[in-house]
Amino acid sequence: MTIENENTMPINSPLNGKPQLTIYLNFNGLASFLALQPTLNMLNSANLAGAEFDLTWLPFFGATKNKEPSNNSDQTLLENPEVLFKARRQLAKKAYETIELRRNCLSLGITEQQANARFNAVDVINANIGLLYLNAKGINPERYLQQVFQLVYAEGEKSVGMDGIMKLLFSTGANEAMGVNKDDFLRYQQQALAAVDDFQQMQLETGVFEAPAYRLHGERYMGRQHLPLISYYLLAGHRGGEN
Amino acid sequence: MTPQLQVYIDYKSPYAFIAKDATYQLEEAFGICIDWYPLTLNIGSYLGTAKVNDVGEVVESNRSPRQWLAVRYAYYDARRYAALRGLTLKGPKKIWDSSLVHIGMLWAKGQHHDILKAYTDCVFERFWQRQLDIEDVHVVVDMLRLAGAELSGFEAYLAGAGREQHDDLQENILNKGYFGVPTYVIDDEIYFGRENLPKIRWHLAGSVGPCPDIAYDILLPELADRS
Repeated sequence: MTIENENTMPINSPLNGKPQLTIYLNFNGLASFLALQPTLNMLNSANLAGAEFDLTWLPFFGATKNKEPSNNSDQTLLENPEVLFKARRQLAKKAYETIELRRNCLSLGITEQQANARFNAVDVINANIGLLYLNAKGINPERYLQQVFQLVYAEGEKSVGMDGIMKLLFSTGANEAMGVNKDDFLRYQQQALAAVDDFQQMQLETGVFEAPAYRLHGERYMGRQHLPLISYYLLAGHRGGEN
Repeated sequence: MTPQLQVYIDYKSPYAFIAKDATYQLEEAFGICIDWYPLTLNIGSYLGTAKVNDVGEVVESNRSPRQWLAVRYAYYDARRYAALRGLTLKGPKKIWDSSLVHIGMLWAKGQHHDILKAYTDCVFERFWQRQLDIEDVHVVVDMLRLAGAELSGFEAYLAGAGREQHDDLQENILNKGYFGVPTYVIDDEIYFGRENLPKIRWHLAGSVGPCPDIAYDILLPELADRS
């Protein structure tokens, strides 16, 4: 099992080969669901315009947590105005997130209850491995991505089990003739499970700390708000970054 | 009736800096006069604190690895969009208290809209070139002078009514639920971040048709010429 490395090309340089676009999605993240269709639209437009690039979809293996407590954690609100500010800011941020959630639900046509749905821990790992499996088999995973998000957020499935994952894999058009079957997937799953920590570490080392994220020749873009710039660079054949 | 647009900024925020010109364009595009306010962020309280020396080495820090990752990415991200706009954005060597320069903003705002914009331009551009000590009252006075502001009474305002107005404003801002910059408010609807500019334009145009998705603006003459 190979893990891609950070590209260290100088920034904003013309590309010698095809641009490499990697897209990271979190199957338990509404932001990733929100990004999927606009990302597919952007890719279609780029393809139609003749842009050539290699594309890889990868699962996001989870955010890093603050392992070290902040310097404020042992101080009381009354003792430190910074702590008070932080707490009040947090409340304001939460209130805004509620407004954003409402807007996002409208945009996706789902309820707030649906938006809060999550796969259980086992199934989200299997869904992640399913995506890696399709990559390993050279199968376009777009249909799979759509189906997984549909299952979590529209149908509210928290647990699909191995049969559910297989059904999702076959929804891409994959079949036995391509070597896709339950036994083969289970073998792959065992290898992948052993490499999950490495994947997580690699994502952290490449600076991918949230999803959706995009990497175009090593340049990181966190969030779908970057799609216009990514599209521009795909069409212009240049790598992004500072001048 | 044209809606009223309020915009909250902090001069020490790189994201507010790169949102400035696109926000100015709203005034021209919709024939509105933006009501600007300072939102003085206490960055250290939620992103930790750090100081770097002249060669960029960290000499003081209480940030966690996660906070460093987020902060470094934030500056990197802001710099690449600044570069596309031809702007210089040098990361600050410490976390600044921007309250003085924000009281200057309130003073400029009380004089004339054009003076406020000139002051904002002067402060933003010089601060992000590391040419301004925004905690120095003489620097704030210089920026007001450069913007064409009347200065008599400013020092008294700074120590008295201006400080009071600024501090009250910050209290109210948190109570209203505004937590970062740039924040845009139209008809009591809050939009945080310049990625919401497509939605803000849609809102200002009367909310006709489907609401657009979030996106950073890249509609820049430099890019259009290069494409």
